[in-house]
Amino acid sequence: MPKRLSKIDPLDIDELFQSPSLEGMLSFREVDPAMATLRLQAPQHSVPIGVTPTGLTPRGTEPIGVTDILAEVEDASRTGRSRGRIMRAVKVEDGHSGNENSLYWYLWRSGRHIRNSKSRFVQMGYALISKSAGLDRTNVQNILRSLETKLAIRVVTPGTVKSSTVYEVLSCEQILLQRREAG
Amino acid sequence: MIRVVVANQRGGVAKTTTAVTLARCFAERGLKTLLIDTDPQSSISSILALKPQFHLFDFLIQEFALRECVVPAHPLIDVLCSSRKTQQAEDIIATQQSRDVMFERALADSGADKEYDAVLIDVAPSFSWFQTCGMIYARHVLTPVAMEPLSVQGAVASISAAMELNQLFKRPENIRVVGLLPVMVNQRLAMTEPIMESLRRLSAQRDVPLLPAVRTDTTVVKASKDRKFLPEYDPKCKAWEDYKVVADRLIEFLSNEHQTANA
Repeated sequence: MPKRLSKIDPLDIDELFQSPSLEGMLSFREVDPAMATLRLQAPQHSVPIGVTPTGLTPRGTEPIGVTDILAEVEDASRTGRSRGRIMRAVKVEDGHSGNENSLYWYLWRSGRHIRNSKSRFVQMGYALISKSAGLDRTNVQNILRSLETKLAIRVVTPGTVKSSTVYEVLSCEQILLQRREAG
Repeated sequence: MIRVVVANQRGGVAKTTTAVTLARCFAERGLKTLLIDTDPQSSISSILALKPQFHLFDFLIQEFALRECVVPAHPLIDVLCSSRKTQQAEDIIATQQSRDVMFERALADSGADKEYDAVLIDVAPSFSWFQTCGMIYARHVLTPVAMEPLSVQGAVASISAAMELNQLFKRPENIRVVGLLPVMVNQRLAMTEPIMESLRRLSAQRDVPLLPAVRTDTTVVKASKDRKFLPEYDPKCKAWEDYKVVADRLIEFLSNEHQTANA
């Protein structure tokens, strides 16, 4: 005959309140409205699936994780840029202006991974970037040029009459490494 | 005016059933009630067989008039239905600076406070913008708790969320959990007593009233299958009797609170 189970104890309320699952309850609020706008406007696939600018096989099996993107966006949105206070440029964002930073993350989110590459690749023209990011076309041109100078993006294939420019958007790790090498 | 959000950060704990049945109870007491569904699953329109032309998305984002978006489910109950586009509405709201007070502004602009005596908001289990907006607008949270541990955990999460929002906003009127409502209670099951004891402790520890239990009743499922309110399906069913007691307690509690605030 099976042994009768012992009496079930009530739940420990303090333990429930201290549960790690309750941490970051309001974390969704930390995304800045401006960043949320960019995220909402980001096109799903700037480069069609199966077609990559470098001709390599796309890393379709490992899609970009939404949590990764959000974590990075949140991180970017938290970066304070105090006026008049000298601070050591430690993070990638420290070397960017507000618009440069927004555009960099926009391109990063819009880009796609290529196998064995830490970068992301995106094929977009000035008009599309300007419309999606809500920036003036001339500003977009200047910001892209500036990001290129700051070693955050590279032009893989220049734009022609028939196709838009293909950009390589470098990861934060790569950018910091390149900037260190460049002095 | 009664404003209540029905929330528990656990799915399947009878949030929608509670919201719909309480709305019907309020109507039974002569209160004109607005029932707002903010869950993209749009269960309320399914339960009550409503076919709205416009939804919450149209009300909040397209800024349609409230009277054009609500559908009557009873002479004294109007429902603002949700749709799958509610998710999109939430994404859009996240881009706005006034995102926390979206409900407050939209409902105040549409004159809901003058039109209705009670506003009940049914929210999705996950804590997101609409739950925040709902809590900030209503300030009163009712938490149904089913007889299982994860449901209690969901209730704890809702209480924590209310506390965190209070800390964040520091408004004169705090968001309060006005009741833990034990639902689907079957005394013959072994888990019922430990969960009820847990709720008693939670109630005592956090000063949250423990409301009278709603017994488990298959009529609830049958009524939703027939797309009817509980009393329209079976006016003598156990759940309806229990919900009426709960509604009376809530009305009494909220009226007392209102009088105290005015005094």
